[in-house]
Amino acid sequence: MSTDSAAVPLITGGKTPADVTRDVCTPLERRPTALWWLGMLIAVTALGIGVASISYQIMVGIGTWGLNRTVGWGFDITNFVFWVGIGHAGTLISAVLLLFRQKWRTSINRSAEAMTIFAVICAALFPLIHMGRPWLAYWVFPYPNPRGPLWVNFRSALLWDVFAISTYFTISLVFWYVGLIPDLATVRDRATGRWRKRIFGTLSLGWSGTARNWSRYETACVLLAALATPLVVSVHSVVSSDFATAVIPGWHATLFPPYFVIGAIFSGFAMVLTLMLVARKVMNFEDYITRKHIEAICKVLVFTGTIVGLAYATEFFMSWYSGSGYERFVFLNRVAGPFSAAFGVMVLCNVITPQLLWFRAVRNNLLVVFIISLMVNLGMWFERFVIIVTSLSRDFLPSSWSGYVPTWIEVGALVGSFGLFFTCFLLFCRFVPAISMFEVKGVLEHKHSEEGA
Amino acid sequence: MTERALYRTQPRTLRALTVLAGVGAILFLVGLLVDSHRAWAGYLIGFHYVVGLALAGPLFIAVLALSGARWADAAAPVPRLMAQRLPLAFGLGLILCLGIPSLYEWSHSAQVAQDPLLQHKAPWLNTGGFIVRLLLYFLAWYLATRLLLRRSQGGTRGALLRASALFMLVFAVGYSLASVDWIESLDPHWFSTIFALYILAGLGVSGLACAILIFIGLRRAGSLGPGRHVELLDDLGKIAIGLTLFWAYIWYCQYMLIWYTDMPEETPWYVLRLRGTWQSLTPACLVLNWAIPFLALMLRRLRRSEAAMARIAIVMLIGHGLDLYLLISPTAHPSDPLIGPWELGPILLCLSLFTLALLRGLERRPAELSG
Repeated sequence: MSTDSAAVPLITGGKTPADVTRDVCTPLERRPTALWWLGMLIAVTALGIGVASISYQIMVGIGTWGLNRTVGWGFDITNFVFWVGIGHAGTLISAVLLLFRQKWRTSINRSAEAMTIFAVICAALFPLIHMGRPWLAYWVFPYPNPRGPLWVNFRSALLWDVFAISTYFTISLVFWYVGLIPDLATVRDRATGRWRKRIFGTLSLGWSGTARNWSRYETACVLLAALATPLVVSVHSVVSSDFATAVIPGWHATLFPPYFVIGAIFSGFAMVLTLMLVARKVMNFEDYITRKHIEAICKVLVFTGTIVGLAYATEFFMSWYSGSGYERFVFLNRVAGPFSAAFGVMVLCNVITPQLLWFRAVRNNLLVVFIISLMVNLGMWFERFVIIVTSLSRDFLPSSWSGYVPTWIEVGALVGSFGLFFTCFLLFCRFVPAISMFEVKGVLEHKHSEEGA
Repeated sequence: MTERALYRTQPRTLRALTVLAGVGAILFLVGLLVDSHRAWAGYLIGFHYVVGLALAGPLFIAVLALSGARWADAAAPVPRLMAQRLPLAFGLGLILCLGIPSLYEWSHSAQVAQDPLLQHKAPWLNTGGFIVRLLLYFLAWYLATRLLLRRSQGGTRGALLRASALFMLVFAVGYSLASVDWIESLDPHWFSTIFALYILAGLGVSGLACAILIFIGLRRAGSLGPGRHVELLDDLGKIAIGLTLFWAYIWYCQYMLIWYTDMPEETPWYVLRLRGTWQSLTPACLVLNWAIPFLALMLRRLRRSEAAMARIAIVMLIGHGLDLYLLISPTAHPSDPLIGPWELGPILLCLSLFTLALLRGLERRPAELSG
């Protein structure tokens, strides 16, 4: 969010447009590195654990989870909200920052958008398996059916989720794909093999790079950005309604929609930061994802993290100010109840450690930044866990109070979702230009007049 | 920057504004004798309006600095001019303290004695605390704004960024609490966690509308020097789209969640505002604050026309006045919306004092306004 010193270039190493094409396309055209295989091995193993856990759960039933009659949502919905949140940074970077003409987005938007798509897939997985009989999942869609009076409930926030998430997924996918077209054409033009040429030729939709192509294309991108922008806000607002439309203390708060949105952006940027720090090392993108990008993301993190802290403080103040005994109890219970450790992790990771990013020395130390980004990811997962589980486990009737301990099957499903996410991400890095070449070429220093491919 | 004043107001205009302020003051004083509840409610509207406009100045400076934006450099004097009105807002705030008994139910010990909820809130909602906090808010805002104005005039970029971040923190915390003190506690039984954000959204919309008007005024007077002013106006229009949308979003979040859960401790706020004649004002508020500016600003032609932008800004300012009226007045006269000399007088007083101060600020210290 900053152009601190306009003199420092966004892209270092004096790259020419031809260098950009070569640097971005080479990883797609040679055999994967050992590091990539190692990453893939870990990701696929995690995915395997997930497939095994979820298969077992579907065969045996939801009873394999630690949920009970009081705590009906646990790891599943926590994971769902977590992954939806992760996705938000992608849309924010590609749509909102495009409208705000922030040039630093160009190196990271492609992978952030891919991250969005994979995160939404991971998110959708959890409500699906929570249904118990996922083969009937199509029942969530309203269409004339032979099931008699069985019809979706439009008043339920859970149904709004179906629409919000499917819209989000569709628009994100279209936006990402449209953004890829000129670069897919570049890959096509460099391709040597017949099949490779044919596949990328089809995918690039006959792109020829004429002035007319570009003019139409830029209009389409701005329109899609404008369409995608409301989604940054709407999706997590709807997700927050799953809780805020309930009367459970700690869930019903009018602040929830914007509070969830800002938390989503916070966690999403943390994930972008984690991925970018890894990608620039593994893919040799140090000249493209520079300290300037890292610095900008860090500033977004400290800004959104502080707002998240203010939101926590508001909730606590209001739980007292409201004069509602239930509200006060729920918040005290978060601090000192059976899940106080989760609360501690949440405050430490989301509010306290990001404050270190105020200091330039910290922002310039990539190892520390990496650790902070991981902590924010962790903290935001725990935030959702705290909201969901502490409120459910202690509701109005003490006779129905209960605890919650996740089973290995639930942990396996969480591990599996990370496996799915990273498997998809590694495949993306392998088969698709991970940096938007044509946009990066637009922000190069104009020292070189050489034409790129 | 030359020593020439940025803008010289016609003495006629200044006289007219002074007369308006005088009329407002007289109406306010008479109103205090006739119906003090209505007069103080009107005063709170005027006061809150002016505080919002004054704080929008440093807020815009800080946001622009933090986001590294240079597109608004040509308009730099505008937010500075607004920021310098903070002492006036403080003065109005001191007078507000006299109105506590008329405005706030929690200030009456007899009422508190028979209401357990008010007793629970008494550590926060009491006359002494209200006054001390008001002083603290203004002190903190004033110091942070002064630092910000200095840093934005000279000094390093790092120092400006630090001053901006400091202002943002002081502003966010102070304004959240102030919104509870000044407005939310008008109905001390009611609460909403999003309320501060709603008040903040109103500040954003009205502050931007005011900035657009000042910008157009200065441009017409030829005071802004060279620059791509049409582009700047267009960008201000786009920001206004975002802010009106943000306001509407926050309005909707609060309304939808309270309507949906239908809990007796939350609904009275809306029940009061959706009863009888009050009912028609809520849609009017949404139309003025959101629908009209949002739809009009979608048109590029209008965003680039000074005449159209000035009209849109005036609609937004009127909308903000109605918004504050709907927030404040229903507690003063719940049965029916009343708008007469006792409300208009104090509002007129506050707004004409603000405008006078703005115009005088333009004449006196031109050097301080350059960014």
